[in-house]
Amino acid sequence: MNRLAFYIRPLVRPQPVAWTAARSLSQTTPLFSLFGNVTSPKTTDKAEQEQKGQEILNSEGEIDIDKITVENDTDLQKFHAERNKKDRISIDKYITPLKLELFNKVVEEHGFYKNGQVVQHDGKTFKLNLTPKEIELLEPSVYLESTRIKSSMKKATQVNRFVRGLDVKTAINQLHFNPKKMSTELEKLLKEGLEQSTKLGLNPDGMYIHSLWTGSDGQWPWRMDFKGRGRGGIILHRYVHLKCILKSEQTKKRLAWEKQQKQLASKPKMFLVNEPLNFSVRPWYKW
Amino acid sequence: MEACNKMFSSLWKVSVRNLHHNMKPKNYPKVNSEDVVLNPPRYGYRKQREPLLSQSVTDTLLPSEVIRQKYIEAGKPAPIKFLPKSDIIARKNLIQLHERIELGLPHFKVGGKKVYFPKQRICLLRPNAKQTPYQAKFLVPKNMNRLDLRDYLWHVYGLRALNVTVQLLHSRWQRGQHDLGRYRGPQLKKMTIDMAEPFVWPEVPKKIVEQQQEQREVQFALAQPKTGSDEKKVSDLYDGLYKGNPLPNAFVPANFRRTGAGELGQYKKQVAGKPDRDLVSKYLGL
Repeated sequence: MNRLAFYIRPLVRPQPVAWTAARSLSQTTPLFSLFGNVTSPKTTDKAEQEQKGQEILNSEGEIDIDKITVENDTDLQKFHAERNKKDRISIDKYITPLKLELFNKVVEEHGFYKNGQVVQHDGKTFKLNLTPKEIELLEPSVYLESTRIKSSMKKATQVNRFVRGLDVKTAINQLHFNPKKMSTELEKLLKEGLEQSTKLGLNPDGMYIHSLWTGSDGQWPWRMDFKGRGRGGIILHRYVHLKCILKSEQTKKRLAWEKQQKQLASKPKMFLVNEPLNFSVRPWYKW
Repeated sequence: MEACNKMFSSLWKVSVRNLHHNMKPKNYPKVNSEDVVLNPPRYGYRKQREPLLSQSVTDTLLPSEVIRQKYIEAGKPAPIKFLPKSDIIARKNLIQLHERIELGLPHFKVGGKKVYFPKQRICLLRPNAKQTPYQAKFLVPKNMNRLDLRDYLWHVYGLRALNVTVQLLHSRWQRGQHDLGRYRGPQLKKMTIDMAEPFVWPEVPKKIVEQQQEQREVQFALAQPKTGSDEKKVSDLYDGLYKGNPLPNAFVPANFRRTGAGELGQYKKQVAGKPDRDLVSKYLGL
């Protein structure tokens, strides 16, 4: 078998090749043309060609398939943008626009969300009281999910407890010099989180690990553990995932403010018992 | 007498006392060590024969006729293997072959087999390491014999197959896709021909090889089974053709997503229907 035949030889014969279908999603990059260069390409509209840019055209002014890349393929980018928008999980898909608007106004005014504030909107006055759950969801967050990791929950939890609640950058710094495997995995995840928070326009320096947990990733392979005296056991090959919620400095400020408010509202501490006696006081012993 | 004997034996003993079987170093033969050859070649003990008469003929294509003549001239009986007249026939055939080639006629007896609407395929294969440029290999249907291929090549392409050899490959065991069984694959028949003129396959363009290699890697990557969290992972192949820079997700619990989407739908319905309701209430004077 020569080199070409080796590469052409399909790996999986009866199944259709998946990548051709995916490739055909982009209409500007046809993989196969029945007539090759004999027929002119369908998109000869000049305005359309100018839009797509001169870089994909060859010297004769026709679209050159080899010059089309992922970066300059406008149709592909459009498709990706639509798909990303549809697939993305964000709170504005699940909460009424008014609530969102009012929340944003409070945040704009104070720098973070304060519950029970009076807001003017559309010529009306609102007093916004949100439940803790709603506040948590409305504040900006980044949800990270790892891929399948060959480890166990017990091993992962040790590392998770180490960095839970830390600033993301501090956590990355700590994890980088920790020799555990799960530290490396978590570090990768957090670095991805920093990138994503930058994409959202959040300050990466202010991000912290709000919650971090691990779980079984399911479908654990197992095999027999043969022992003496006719006994046996099962050896499990465990796989886990990591999940993490990063929150911004907005949340940190709010929590600090709430703590302060709670402190202000609390009664002064009495070192002596200052409560009324809860029994009838009589000058003799009752027994 | 006895005393005489005793004296003799004692004298003998004295005289022999200094005789040693082992050679002393001073008596060793004087030889230069560089002149000594260890394990000298053992030739010379076989009988050296004079070269055979047949060995003297080296520059003739079909030599047995010449060799026979040499033996007759020398007055010796020719060996049996030079006696048949086959090389006279071969020479005649060779001359005939050259004539037919020069005349542009088929160099063989054309077969009379008639084939209607053939749907078999004959593939020219790339050469393997042991083939010369004067050879070509074809993948042929199993019911074809070497005469058929010779006829076919002559009549379709005008190609002269000067010699045809057949390789019938064994059918390989193949594994099933979805079971543990193994099955017999097809039995392939290949034929190698000798040609009058050389033919070298053009080199495969590097780009195509690379493309195929990449495609193969992609196929391999896509064929990998995904389990658990890897099912969500979008492959990073083709410079992010599939992935496409996804936007980060916020944390919204699945339960809230379920209820929230319904409530938001209701809300949107209400807002969209408000002008209509206002209109109706205005019409009714409510």
